[in-house]
This record gives sequence, structure tokens and C-alpha cells, in this order.
Amino acid sequence: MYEMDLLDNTEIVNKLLARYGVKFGIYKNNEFKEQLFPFDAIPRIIRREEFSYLEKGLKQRVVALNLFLEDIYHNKNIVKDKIIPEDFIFASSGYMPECEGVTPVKKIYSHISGIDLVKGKDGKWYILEDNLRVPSGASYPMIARELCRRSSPKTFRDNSLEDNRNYAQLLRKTLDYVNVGGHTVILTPGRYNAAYFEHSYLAEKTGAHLVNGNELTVENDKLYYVDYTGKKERVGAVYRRISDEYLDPMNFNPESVIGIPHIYDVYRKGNVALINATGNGIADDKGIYYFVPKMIRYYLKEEPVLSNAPTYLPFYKEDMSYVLAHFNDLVLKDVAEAGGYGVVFGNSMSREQKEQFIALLKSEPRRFIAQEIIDFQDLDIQEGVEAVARKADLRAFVLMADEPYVWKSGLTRFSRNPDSFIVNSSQGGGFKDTWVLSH
Amino acid sequence: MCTKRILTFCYRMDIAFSLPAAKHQFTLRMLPCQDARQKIAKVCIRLVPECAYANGEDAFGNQYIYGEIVQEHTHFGVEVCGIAEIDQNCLTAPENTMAALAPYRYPSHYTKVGEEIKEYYREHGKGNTETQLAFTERLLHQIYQDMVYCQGVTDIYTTAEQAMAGRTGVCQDYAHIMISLCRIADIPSRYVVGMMQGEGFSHAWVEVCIDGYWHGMDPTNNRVVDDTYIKISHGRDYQDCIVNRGVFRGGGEQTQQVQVIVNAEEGLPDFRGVNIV
Repeated sequence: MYEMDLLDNTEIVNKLLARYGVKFGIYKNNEFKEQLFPFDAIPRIIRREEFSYLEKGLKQRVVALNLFLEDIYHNKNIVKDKIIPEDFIFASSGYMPECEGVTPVKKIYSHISGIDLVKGKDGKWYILEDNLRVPSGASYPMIARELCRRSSPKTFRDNSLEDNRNYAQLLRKTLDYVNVGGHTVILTPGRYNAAYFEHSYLAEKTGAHLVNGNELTVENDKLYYVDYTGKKERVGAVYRRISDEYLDPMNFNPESVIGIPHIYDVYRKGNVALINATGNGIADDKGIYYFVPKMIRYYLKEEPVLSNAPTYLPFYKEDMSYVLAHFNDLVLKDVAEAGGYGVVFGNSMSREQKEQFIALLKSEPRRFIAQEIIDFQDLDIQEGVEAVARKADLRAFVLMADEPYVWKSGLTRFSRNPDSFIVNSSQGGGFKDTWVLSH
Repeated sequence: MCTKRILTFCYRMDIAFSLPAAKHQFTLRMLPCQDARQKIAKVCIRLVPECAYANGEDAFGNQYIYGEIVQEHTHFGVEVCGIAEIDQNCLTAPENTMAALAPYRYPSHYTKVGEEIKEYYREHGKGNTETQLAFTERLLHQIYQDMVYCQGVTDIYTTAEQAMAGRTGVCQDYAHIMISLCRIADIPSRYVVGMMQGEGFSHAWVEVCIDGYWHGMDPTNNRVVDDTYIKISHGRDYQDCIVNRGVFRGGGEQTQQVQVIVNAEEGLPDFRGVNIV
């Protein structure tokens, strides 16, 4: 399938990635550390038919999630019709009352969605989680592909695979689609952010300005970019890579120094587009995840194409008894946590830990979900000259403009630790390119 | 029966900066609201230094103004004066019950339920046969009795749980405690900022939604809200109703002064020293 030089050049590719700044910043014990995001050259390969199946399911899911967000911040029909108990919406930290009644440009909430999937040993794909706030990761397979094409040209001449370097054009189209007039900019919190490489790379590839909060200003109910001479130019779309909380000190966290005062006031009036919209946290909450298949049936009157991992909500009595009876076979997740934190495996706890955890679970059942541990397919990674099997997932990117589009690639992350199921970059995992075959 | 009461009001806030401030972005939630109970006949807004501002309405339905003072200044003054007509017989009803009440039924940052609040509720919670209205009225007297009004012990970051633990606080704390307890009893309740006759300062109280109407309760003053109260804004808690939010460069130390005058006028209002635009 691929030439040996693709694998032989791994070290050089990794050196180049480091030089380009493909790193992850991690805060641990109040210390900021940059760590490389190791690349493994053996690609994940997805056949064309298999990918069309994924595409169908991913589009369906993202369309339903967008409808859900519009519904929650307006009519709340899905709650009125008792599909989702209201506790799961209004008591969730992801629900933002500040977004009530605010309609984003063209009613798009999640312009860029990162959907995490795994493939089971049974060959079946399962959705693990939806990321609808500021999902990152597309830039890594983009640049890896670019470098691999140079390190092993023959591999890419001999194989028919989808070129994933079109992500920049797709992203630009998505951003421009909601632009209300003026420039399109990418807003970064700065170089100490974990994903700063991605911000700068996407800006370079899309031709959008890369800006900090202090280069944007609100005047006369509109947003402007101020250049180094003090000249102001209108901004119509902001691909913001900062979270809702820090976006605007006048409307959200008043302590934020990376945000733009009054940007939310202007957004509320429809004078600028924010990508993604604010308030999306309610749709990618781990508790809401359970209800996504129900959303698909409710809004689209269709059966879900892709399945969730089997999930239980201890909030429901019958689920609680199941969880207690099968505790050792389940993974428990704190709905408020992200990035691989707050995840515990029932079988890895000591007796004492287990007792403590069960007490907590009983006092705050809404706070946790339990899932069957999926025996997912391992992928080979290179370790020295050998290939060893490791757990891996896939983050697929769905872009929403006039219609949903699934990027024909994705970020494959793997765990370097042979015993770990957790593949998150913030937990020290590595990544692979994802090939989608074109015939 | 006409039971309207006419109130004139003047809300003045002055901030002195020890060093010049510039690029001063502000959001002011100082405009009295318009609802079934309260009509604003006239309002005049004055900013010092003078500057252009825009109007906005937030997700809770509060009106606000916002803008930027670019030039250097050592004083920022705001004055909102006008005439309000209050009809206490016309309580305000939420428009669309579930959607409009959702944020007011679950704990928010300042009203999270901890051990202290839970314990207090165990002792003074709603009785099975007690009506919601009787409960909230009893609760407001109870809180008044058990709390000591004292400035300087709590601050703007104090939560209901913390204030309950110390049994001391100011109107903000009284309101948060009452909201937290009412939400345990499944009564939608919200934080209100406004003005009242004879207070001299801005004030905070609580609104509870019972049988489809918002009832004002003032635990700090041990009384049900009557037609001497002028409402400005409401929200889940203090955070949603902050009167003045600002971001600026420089400024050094700042000192803030607030002066509120509310007068009942018999017959036609007479405006002494108030410029109506």
C-alpha cells in the first residue's frame, strides 16, 4: 500500500513538525509545558464505501445537533415533548441563558464540528463524543500529509486517495458563508494556547487575518479590525478559537483579558458572525450525548445511521441499578469534564475508591454517565523497527455552510501506553494521518 | 379602580479614578424596566464625559446602554432620572411559561445549594399544606429575623451559602439566600435590582413566580414589595444584573459613589433640578 520510505522518514517528518511548532501546550500543576505531538507515519486507511457510510451518519448527526441548539435557545419543543428531561438542559453547565432568543446568522450554530468515533473489533463504528464548541485538530493531518507527500512522493502517486489539503478552502467557504460584510478573521488567545500552531496554520492556509483580542474593537454597533497604523476595517465573521466564557468581558467572565468588550452585543444584533456560535456547550455535554439518537428521530424523523457507544444514565432508576450491578464492566465519565479528565474505569478502582465513587454517584446521579467499554480495533504504530498495536480513535470534521460537508480525512489519535484507552492529545497521545481512498 | 402611584426617580453614579482612564468600555443596566406593573413615563440619561452610546436588550429582557469613552478622563458619571407609574394591582406575568422560567428554577453561581442552605431549608422549608405564597412570605420574615444586616462583612463575590454560614450580609446576600431556598421549594425565583423610596442607594430584592405572576419580596426590609419600589433589572442572580460593567486602560484606584432619590408625587410631578429630555 505504501512505500517503505514513508515509514523510514518518520523521524525527519517529526523533526519538521516540531520546527513548524506542532506542539501541545499542557498546564500541569500550574506549570506550562510544551510537548510534541508525535506523528506516526502508518496511516489509518478508510475504504471509500465505508467512508460514505460514515459521511451519511455524521451529516445526519450534525444537522440534528444544529436543530437541537436552535430549539433549546428558542421554543424548547424537545423538552416540552418530554424527549429530554429538563434537568439535563437547564441544570447543565453547558446551557447558557445569555443565549436565549439569540439567533446566529443563517441559524447555524455548529459550523465546525469535531465528532469522535471508534471502530469496534466487530467492525462497527461508534460515536464517542461530539465537540461543537471549538474543536481542534484538523491542521495536524493537513501538515502531516504535506510533509509525507514530500518524504514519499511515490506512495501518493501510486495510491488513489482523497487529497485532504482542501480543508482550508472548505473552512474558508464555511466562514464566508455566514460573513455579514467585511473581513473574516481567526481570533486566537495567543501563543501560549495549546492549539496555537493550528490557529496560525489555518490563518495562513485560508488567508484570513490571525488576530488577538486587542486588535478588534467595537464601534457604532459594528466590529472592526484595527491595523498597526490605527486604520479600522469592518469584520463580518470571527472564527474564534477562545471559549464562550472569555469572549467578552462585558457579557461573560469580567476578568477576561483576551476577549473583546461588547462583541456579544454586536453579535446579538446580527452585525457579526461568530464561528462557532455561543452556547453550543449544551449540545456536546456528555449527559446530552445519550439523547442524540432521540434527537435524530425527533427532528429528522429518521433512524440514526451511526450508533452511540451503549450508554447509561444513572439519573434513571433502572440505569442506576444496571450500573451498580455491572460496575466493573463500565467506564464512568463526569459530564462536566473534558480532555480525558474525569474518566474512570470500574475495574481499575480499589475497593475503597469504588465505595467512595458509588456514594458520590448516588448523591449526584446527574453528574455521571456510564458506558460499556468498547473493545475497539487497535491500529499499528511504529516502535523502533517493530509495529505494535495501540488503541486509536478518529475525529471527523463536519463543516456546515449551505449544506453539511464531511472532510475526507480526519485526525486519528492513538494512545502510546499499551494499556490505556485514553487517546487525548492532552494526555500525551500521538496522531496519524487518515486516508480516505478515492476508489 | 385607579391605584397608580407616580414616583420620580434619580439614580446617580460617580466613579473617580486616581489616574486617568482611557478606552473606557462600559455597559450600564440602570434603566427602569417597563412591564405590567411599572410604566416609565419619562426618562433622561446623562453621561459625563458626554459620549455616544447604543441600546441593547439582554436575554433576560433587561434594557441596557453601552459605549466607549476613548479620551482620558478621571471621572465617569451617569445620571438616570425620570418618572415611573406603578400599579401594584397589575403584577407581571411571564410570557411563555417554561421557556421564560427555565433559568430561574435551577441553582446559579451565587445561589448554589450547600450544606448551610440545605440545613436551613430542613428547618424552615415549605410545609406540605402551606401555599407557595404563604411560604415565601413566611420565609422572608424568617430570613430577616435570622440575618444580621452588616456592611463590609460580605462582598460582591459572596455566595448564598457563604452568607448563610455567617448569618450576616447586605441586600444582595439576603436576596441570594431567599432565591436559593425558593428554588429548592420548586418556586421559580429571580434576583431584582431597583430603587425604593427612602433608601438612598440602589437595592436588591427577589421576585417569585406563583400562580403565573411575579411577586416582589424584600427580605432585607422584611416586607412584600409595594408601589414604592421601582424595578430596574432581573436575572438569575447578581451577575446578570450588574449595574455597571467596565473595562479601561489605566485608571489607578477607583472610588464609586451612588446616590438614589425616589419621591412620591401627589398630583402632577414637579421636577426640581431634573432636566427632562
